[in-house]
Amino acid sequence: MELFNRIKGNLGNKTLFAGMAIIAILLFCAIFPNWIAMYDPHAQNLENVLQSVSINHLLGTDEFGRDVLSRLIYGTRITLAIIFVSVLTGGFIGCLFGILAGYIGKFVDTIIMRLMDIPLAFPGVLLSLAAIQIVGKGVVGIIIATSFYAIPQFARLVRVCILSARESFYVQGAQAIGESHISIIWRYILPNIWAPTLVLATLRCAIVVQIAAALSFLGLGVQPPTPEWGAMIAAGKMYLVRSPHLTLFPGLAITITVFGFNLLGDALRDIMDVKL
Amino acid sequence: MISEIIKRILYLIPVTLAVIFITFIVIYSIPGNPAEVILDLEATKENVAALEKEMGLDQPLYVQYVIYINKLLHGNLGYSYRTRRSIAGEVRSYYPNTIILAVFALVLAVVIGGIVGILSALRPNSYLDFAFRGFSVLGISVPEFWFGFLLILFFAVFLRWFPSEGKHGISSCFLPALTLSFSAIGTIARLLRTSLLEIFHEPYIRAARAKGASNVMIVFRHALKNAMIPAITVLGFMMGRFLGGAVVVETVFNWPGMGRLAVDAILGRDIPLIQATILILALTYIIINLMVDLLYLTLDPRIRFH
Repeated sequence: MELFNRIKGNLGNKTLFAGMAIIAILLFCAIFPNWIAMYDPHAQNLENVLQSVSINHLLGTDEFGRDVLSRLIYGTRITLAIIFVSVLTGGFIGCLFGILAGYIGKFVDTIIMRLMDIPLAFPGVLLSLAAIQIVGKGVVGIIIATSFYAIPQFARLVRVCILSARESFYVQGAQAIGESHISIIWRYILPNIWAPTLVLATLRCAIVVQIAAALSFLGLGVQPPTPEWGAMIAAGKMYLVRSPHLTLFPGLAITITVFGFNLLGDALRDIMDVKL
Repeated sequence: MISEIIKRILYLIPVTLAVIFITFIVIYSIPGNPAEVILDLEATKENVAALEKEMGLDQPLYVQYVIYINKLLHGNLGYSYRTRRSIAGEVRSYYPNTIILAVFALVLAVVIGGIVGILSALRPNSYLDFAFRGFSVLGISVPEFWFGFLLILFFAVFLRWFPSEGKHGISSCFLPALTLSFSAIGTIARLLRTSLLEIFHEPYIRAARAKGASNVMIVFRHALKNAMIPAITVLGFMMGRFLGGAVVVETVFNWPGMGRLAVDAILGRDIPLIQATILILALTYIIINLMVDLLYLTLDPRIRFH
């Protein structure tokens, strides 16, 4: 609740406002694409292929005569879905590990944290490649690949927060009067980790958008004809010189999305005074 | 100091074993029996059994793991399913190209990022500084592969200064390296700017100013040495980004490196090649991080003498 009031009190912050506005627009596109898009994202029109920007097709048409703008709008849905599922899963598992490591300590801490070092020994994209090879191409592959890498990041962050909270007088007091471990974690420790995990989750969203788009671009993620931005760029690169709009606009959509999450993350970090 | 170095090197052993294990289990990602997949459909039971034996698939998992490590130690990376050629040979021709690209990208990031960072720090809050800072936020938000296409459109198609793809001489290296380093340029510039601005308030800089040293002298003779340290810590992280980014950028520019080899291997379900490419890139990353750690140890006397 306190977190909420902090954000509410800072709505005048330009960075926060800009970030939230971009995310809000994307969310609207993802939930109500049929209200904004003028065409069906899958409707082909072979007499109208590779059209440039015009009044009828604001961002032109692709090699099957499909409306690029409509496909971009529908594409927000799949991108945001991937981001939220990936960051929520990775964040939840990571926080769980972090709480266990930080609260129990001793050998549990050592084992968990050494395990967490393994994914971080890979460059992020490479680990995604290995995960995709094991799980298979597609949306599920992307989600598992990206959430797996998020786990150690959240675990490390939460562990540090808990280590400092555990030393505080109010936690020691609660332990002294014999409160249960669950109750101590829930009532006294968890309130300390909301702010930093929220910031990390927001910044993580920005990275997941990029990795998901890159994997789809390589043909390892979302497969055509699903309107996904990275896959659209992959299809459009054949026509890079003739119809550059097929490459430019989906890339712009990715950039704006990543930019929005980065702005929001930076603003939240400043407002809540989190060191990351 | 020496015990610290030994500790870091020893720590590599479990991490390396874990990385090898992850690439090792990739072979179990094939649905069904790997030996059957490799052989044709009309292969007899005896053929399958013989290949299983040859690949060691009839052994328990931990024995297979030991055999796998033993093969790696002898430089045997197996044979590609598709080309039937030795993977070690393929790697020898592809690996240097990836390293060339990563090193070139690092040089670009350090030089351009360094210049931008110093200029920003000398004139904080000027228009130049604002422009550079906006540019660095943009740098981390633009997807690499898309930025690559923008560079191709502008420099290769419109201006015709550089070739758009492939590897022909030094000029073909420039666009992919710039693509790789774009986000790193912003990061280095920002780090350098912050630490330079902090150092400018230190008494020894004020002493140099009082002595009458020029801005250029202060930056290069006095401030830069200390300001560089935070930037160096992120170099390892950046090389990791370059190795991972190579996967995407090499595909965009059709650059014959390990990244493209890995993507082709996955698209063609060439398991030994996938294992080898991921393993080698990950090991490279581990070694680079070790070197950065050691460099950091020698550069920062506060750590060296503790």
